[in-house]
Amino acid sequence: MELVFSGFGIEIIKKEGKFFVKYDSGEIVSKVIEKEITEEEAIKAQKSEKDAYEMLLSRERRT
Amino acid sequence: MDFQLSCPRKCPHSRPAEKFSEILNTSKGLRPDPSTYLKSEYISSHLAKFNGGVTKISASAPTEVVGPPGGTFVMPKSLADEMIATAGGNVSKLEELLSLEPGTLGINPVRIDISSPNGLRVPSGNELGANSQWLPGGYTGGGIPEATIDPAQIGTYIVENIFK
Repeated sequence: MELVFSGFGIEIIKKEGKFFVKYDSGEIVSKVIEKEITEEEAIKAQKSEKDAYEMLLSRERRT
Repeated sequence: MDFQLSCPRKCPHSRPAEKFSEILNTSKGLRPDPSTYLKSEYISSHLAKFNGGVTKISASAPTEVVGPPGGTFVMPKSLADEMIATAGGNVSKLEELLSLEPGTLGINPVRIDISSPNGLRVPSGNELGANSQWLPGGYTGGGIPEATIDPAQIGTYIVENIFK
């Protein structure tokens, strides 16, 4: 497992060639969420907090 | 307790229920800023509830930034104090007060207190934490006042076990 990025409230991890994002769910009672993302999404999320938000929102919509 | 009686539908909003339906039917990410449908007096009064600091609750202690990009929901610290006191050391009771599924808080939940939050605002529903139960107006479906703050950086929050 490799920590690729930590910032903007997210962590991007690479496991066995796949990218995963971990983040606080953001509810009053929060939990840690981990979802698989694409490499393109991993790259976008590292650019800015806005990009990270947009990536997570996009990822949420296709769940 | 009054936090359970504060139905968001009974709050003095400046717009009718139809406006709220329109907001709820708008996709997350595209919902309007609350200042476009809530009176400024209502917003000021609502945010004043959080003057004494804000609190989040979690089944486990955070190790990094608290909250996802775009902001995180919080409740007034004073209300968290009240609910925790009412629960009297019983995790199940606290889950009930927070309208949570049994077991959500685990066996040793923590509180995350932020005394000086950045970006305190009325939730817009665009937050990643805004789920299908979210309602416009700054209250949960269970009547708990909620606000949004910017993600809290390490060093700006205190974590403590709720029941010691």
